[in-house]
Amino acid sequence: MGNDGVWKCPACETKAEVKGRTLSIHIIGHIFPKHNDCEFAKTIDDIDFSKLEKIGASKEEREGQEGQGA
Amino acid sequence: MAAVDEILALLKNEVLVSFKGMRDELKGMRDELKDLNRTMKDIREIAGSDFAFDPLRYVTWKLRSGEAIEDKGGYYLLIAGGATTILTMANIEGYVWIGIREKSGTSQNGVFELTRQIDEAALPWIYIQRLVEEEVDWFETMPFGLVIRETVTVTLTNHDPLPQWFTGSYYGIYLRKDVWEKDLKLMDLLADKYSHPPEVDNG
Repeated sequence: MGNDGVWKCPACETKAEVKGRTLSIHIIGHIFPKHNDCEFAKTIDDIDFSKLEKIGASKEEREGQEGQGA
Repeated sequence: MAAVDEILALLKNEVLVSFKGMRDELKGMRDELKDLNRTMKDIREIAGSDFAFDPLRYVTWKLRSGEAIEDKGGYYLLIAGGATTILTMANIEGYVWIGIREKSGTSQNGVFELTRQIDEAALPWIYIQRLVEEEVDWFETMPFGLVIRETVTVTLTNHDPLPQWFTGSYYGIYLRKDVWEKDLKLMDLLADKYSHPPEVDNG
């Protein structure tokens, strides 16, 4: 999937992993979203990934890279 | 003079005997006071443990001492049709989360599949296949029942074709982890000491 991977919101530093149509959000504390226009507060179909920073590959991509390296 | 000496000797003997009697009596009183003191100490300890076992008084005590802080908030998740959102909420470092009251709402009853996982538990704490609005009161289980040590994870799948929202609002208490661990040990010690009353010698 094109958007699979680990993403970070530059405004609130919230991190989330996208895998297919599953969004896994990790936060410290119990308030979400941290601000009104957080992309992670939108549905997975509506997130504008150009406003987020990609900080890691998806699990499949990581495994694929490890497989190539071996 | 001899008679006077004799009288003095008799008086001295009388006084000594009397002192001895008083001394024995005082010793008895002292022992009784020691017993009473020990009993009072036990009563104080038991009363103290009752105080700690009462959730509301325990929380008030810890909030007043600054060992706990209140925590209010909530979350709002907008989930596309057929999509899943997993929200992992970690405690602020060095704190456990206790005494939680939570109310959740949904834009559509019966379309969300919900799983709640606490810490690294092997099994979900809650699994609801078709969620309706709910209210959870974990307050009565604290401080030594349901305690979130590190994280709580909510997994929601929207089985509706349309986007739906889910919201949770809560009130909870963050208690310093070292305080909670210390109090837990004290409670164990007290339970050990007082759950088996000492044998009474009925003579």
